[in-house]
Amino acid sequence: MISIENIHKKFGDLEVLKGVSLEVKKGEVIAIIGPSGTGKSTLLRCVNYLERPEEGRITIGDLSVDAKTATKQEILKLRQRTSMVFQSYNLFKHKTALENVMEPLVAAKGMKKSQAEPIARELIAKVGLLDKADQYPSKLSGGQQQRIGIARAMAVHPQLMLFDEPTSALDPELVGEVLKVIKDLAENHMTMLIVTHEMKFAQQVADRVIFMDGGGIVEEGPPQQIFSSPRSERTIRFLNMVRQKDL
Amino acid sequence: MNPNIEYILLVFREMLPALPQTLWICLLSFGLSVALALFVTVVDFFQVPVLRRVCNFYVSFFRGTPLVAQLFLFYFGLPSICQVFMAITKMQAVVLGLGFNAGAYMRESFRGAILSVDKGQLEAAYSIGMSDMKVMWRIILPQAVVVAIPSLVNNLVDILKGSSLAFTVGVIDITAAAKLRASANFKYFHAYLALMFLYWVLVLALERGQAVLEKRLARNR
Repeated sequence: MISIENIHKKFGDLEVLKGVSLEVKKGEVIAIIGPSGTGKSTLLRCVNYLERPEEGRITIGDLSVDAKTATKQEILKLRQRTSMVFQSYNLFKHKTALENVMEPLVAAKGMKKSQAEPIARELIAKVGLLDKADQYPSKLSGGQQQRIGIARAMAVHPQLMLFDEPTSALDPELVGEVLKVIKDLAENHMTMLIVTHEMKFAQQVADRVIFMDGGGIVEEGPPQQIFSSPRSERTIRFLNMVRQKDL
Repeated sequence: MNPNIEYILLVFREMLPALPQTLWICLLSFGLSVALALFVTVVDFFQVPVLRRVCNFYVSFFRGTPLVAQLFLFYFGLPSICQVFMAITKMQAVVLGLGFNAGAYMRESFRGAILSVDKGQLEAAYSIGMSDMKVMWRIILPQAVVVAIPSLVNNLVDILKGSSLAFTVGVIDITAAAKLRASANFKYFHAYLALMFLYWVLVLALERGQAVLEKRLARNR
């Protein structure tokens, strides 16, 4: 059971998150949609404390971290139970694809290299890039880099995976291969929070869709409901805008 | 043979036995300065309270005062106020002075290089549960060192030329050897010409080494 309670985050005077709460069931896939600048990414980044919220509580299993009292140790534990896939991949440029995927095992879990390598190879096989295992990121396409990014996030063996617009930086023809990997994860019941602009993908993969606007959750529900019969005026306006763009 | 050239060759022959001394000074001071600069950089990066102030004071003081004065402070100054330093050798004083001096300058080389590692990689490293120290050692420094090589070689060139001040506390390095030869028969021009030539050759060798090193390290990316 994962819960996010009453998260508040300010950047200077700007209140980006105004008390966001969210419960996530094990194995649930949640897509977060909404206009840019409404705090979707910030919410994800508060979950693993890349941004420290001013207020709020994150609970993952038996670990509960309160923003007011969070210690370095607690944050480290939180990060070992979650992992993140970034918009700009953020692979370690001085390490090969294989070494990138081994890094969570070796550096965070303290595994021996000889133990970590077969696990990492298996994960790379899952994203279909075994033939690229010994390449450096600079030799990989954006789509391949992002698939390695996902394999690296899987290596953490997380209870929750956070996807921060994983396809936004990709050329259109490379989006599909990345979405397919995420779909595979969903079918294997990985618990995921996905911030995305790919509405079709959200509709297909998510168990629940959350529409955020103005630093809070405006509407949530099964994809069917959100996309076919949204209740909130703001959701309707946003979806119309997005659909117009697609035409 | 032209007597001048013959004389220059003689100076070279007399400098050669002192060459290991110069090289040792450079090697040890370089090692010390890298260690100091790394320490200061890490303290600065993680904004360690108190230590940060100490480090800033160190950098400011050693950049703000002349190298000769620093060498004198280590060799003549410290033993006069503190028993422990009575046993300091000339060589140790020179290495300490040069090392502390170069470390203060080298901080800038490291700082720029560390900032060149993109923030996204740091976030990725933190997101998989790495501690501050691991992020520093495994992600930042391996990439920063490659970026820092040109300016580190620059620092090393400064150390090499700075080591010519070792004679001021009585170490017989190549400068001292040339000076001794010159004052023996007053042929200053040719003796110092030979000395400068030797420094120049050493610096050229360093530049060559830098090119080779950069080529090897660039192969991976």
